[in-house]
Amino acid sequence: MATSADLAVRLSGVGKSFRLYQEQTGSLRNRLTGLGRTRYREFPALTDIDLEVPRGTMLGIIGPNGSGKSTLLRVIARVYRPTSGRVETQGRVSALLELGAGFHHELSGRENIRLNAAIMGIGDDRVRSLLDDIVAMADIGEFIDSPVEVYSTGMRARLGFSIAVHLDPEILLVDETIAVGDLRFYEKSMEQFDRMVAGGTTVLLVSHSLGLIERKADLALWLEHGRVAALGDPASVVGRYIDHYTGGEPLDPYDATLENSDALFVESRAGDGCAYSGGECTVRVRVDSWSETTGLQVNFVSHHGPLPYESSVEVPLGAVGVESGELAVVLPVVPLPPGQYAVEVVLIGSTEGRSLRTPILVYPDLSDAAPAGHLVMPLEIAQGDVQRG
Amino acid sequence: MGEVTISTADRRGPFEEWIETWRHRELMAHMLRRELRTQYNRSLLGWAWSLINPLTTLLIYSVVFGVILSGGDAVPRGAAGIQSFPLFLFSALVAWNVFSTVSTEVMQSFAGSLQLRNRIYFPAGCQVLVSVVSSLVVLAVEVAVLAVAFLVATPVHLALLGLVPIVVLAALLGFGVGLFLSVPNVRYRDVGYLYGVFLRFFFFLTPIIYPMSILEGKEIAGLSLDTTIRLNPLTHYVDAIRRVTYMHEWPPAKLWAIMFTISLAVALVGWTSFARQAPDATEGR
Repeated sequence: MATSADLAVRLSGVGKSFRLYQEQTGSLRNRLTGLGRTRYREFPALTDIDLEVPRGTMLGIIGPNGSGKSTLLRVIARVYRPTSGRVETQGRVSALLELGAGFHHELSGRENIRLNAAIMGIGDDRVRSLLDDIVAMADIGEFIDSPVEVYSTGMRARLGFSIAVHLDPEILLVDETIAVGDLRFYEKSMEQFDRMVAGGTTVLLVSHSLGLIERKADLALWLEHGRVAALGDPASVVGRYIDHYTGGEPLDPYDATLENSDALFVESRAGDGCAYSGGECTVRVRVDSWSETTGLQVNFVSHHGPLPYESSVEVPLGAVGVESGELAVVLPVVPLPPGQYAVEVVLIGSTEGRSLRTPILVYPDLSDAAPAGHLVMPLEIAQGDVQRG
Repeated sequence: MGEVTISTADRRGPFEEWIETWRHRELMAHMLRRELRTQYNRSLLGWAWSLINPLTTLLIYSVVFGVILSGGDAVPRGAAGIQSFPLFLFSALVAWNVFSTVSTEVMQSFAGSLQLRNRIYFPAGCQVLVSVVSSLVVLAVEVAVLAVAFLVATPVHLALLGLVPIVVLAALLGFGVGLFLSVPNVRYRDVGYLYGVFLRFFFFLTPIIYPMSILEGKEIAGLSLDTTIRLNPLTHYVDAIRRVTYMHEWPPAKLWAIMFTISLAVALVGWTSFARQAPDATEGR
């Protein structure tokens, strides 16, 4: 046996390329008129991937859109055959590659559970004993006997997830960026991953949530243009990823508007120049002299200019009483959905009315599993009378 | 611990692909049950449709060719002195329907399975095998109607048992053709449309609504029609099914051998081409 006993997944030199046809329409005429010559180019979605995932670990996979994360999961799930190299898996594989896993839309939830079990080679007897658990976790009640096509997005996601985790996979592949639903369920599913990993299941999780990967994963893989950019300890991989996207390359469109950016820094748990959506961040401002400045205003600016709400935080400097040097302004909440913004600091009272700008990259995090709208509103829920400070 | 699965760029051969498909026979049994149960989903008449469809076709052709364009004497006299155009037509129509339904179903079901196969792995051969069996179950209703019609109209004869192997051989031929077209149909949707046109054309090139005897001495552009139509492989299946039903005679060994060879060869070629291309057709979106 080629796989050593403690490895669940091993990829050696795996490549996958797709043919991109020049003309999108799959018409026979194009082929015939081209005299047998089909015009396409090979697009390498994955190149030379080497990866070993020990049994019972959680591997977090990160990378920008189009970097090959989903293709990698599909190759491991055997949905795609590699174009080169070798993929070995040891144990039953369950995959949540798309919303609603392997659903047949005309079938009821119950029949879909049976179909998915049959695909994974699990008999009807075993399914019958699991059915209640699956339905309970998916929280879809009497909808279990309705066709899946009438389900809401959240219900599909929950049922797909519930099926995938209950069919006792030894290897679970999850594309969290598309396959997992609402926040409440998201947390439930994370707990489930923890339990499964503790029980010896190997989980490969594609996620945009860097904080999650950092906290939960045992191993992180960063893909860039279909190649392994980094593989190893999650904290260091995530750190390098953030550095790459904030330090290495200037972020459009703000680099043109930067003024004295060396005098303005943003830092947070997500790293320098970044913040988690809904999380806190610290803005550091350094000027030669504060003597003329009576206050600070902090704004967030989006692609379309200043955000259309009162985003400023005014800090009266008299209370701080500094003459020179660096000031740190702590923003308890970055109320923005994930994306690229700039932080603008206006020095009030200075004769020129100086302002400083620096880019800030806002990452999605647990509190923002399904971003919608223009602002993130943090909530705190307490039982009984709300304490007002 | 679970078994090791290896996936590489090397293609599985047709035999390995068959083994891999067969390994999933419990899945296929499940899919078949599901397919039969949902065959007539959301239809009031349900399974009656598999009866209504052939009967309607039979009625139309009987009225058009038996009454309006009454051929009268052109209809050959069958066993026990029957001379019935509807029965003459129906027998051939069943063989034709088995071939055309199975080939079309195989081709379309493969395209239909891609959505699921893009999310979860199972061998490409599962869906096409299931579709052959499920369309045969539906067609069995038609074959049974045919058998009953002849049992009522003519004395009981053992040759009628020949219906079963003939239907199976016609289905095998349809399976091979459908397999051959499955992957091209995913890449170029024209293939499916072209095949529909081809079937309509071919229907009249097969002696279904006319007897072979009508062709004697006729020619088009110097080609003897009689010889030309005999080159059509389906002519043999139609000939055989007419013999066991209309003529009450067991087909000669030579005819069996021809059908057996054609069906097996086409099915093997179809499977080989399918096994080579189908596993990669998931991304043919």
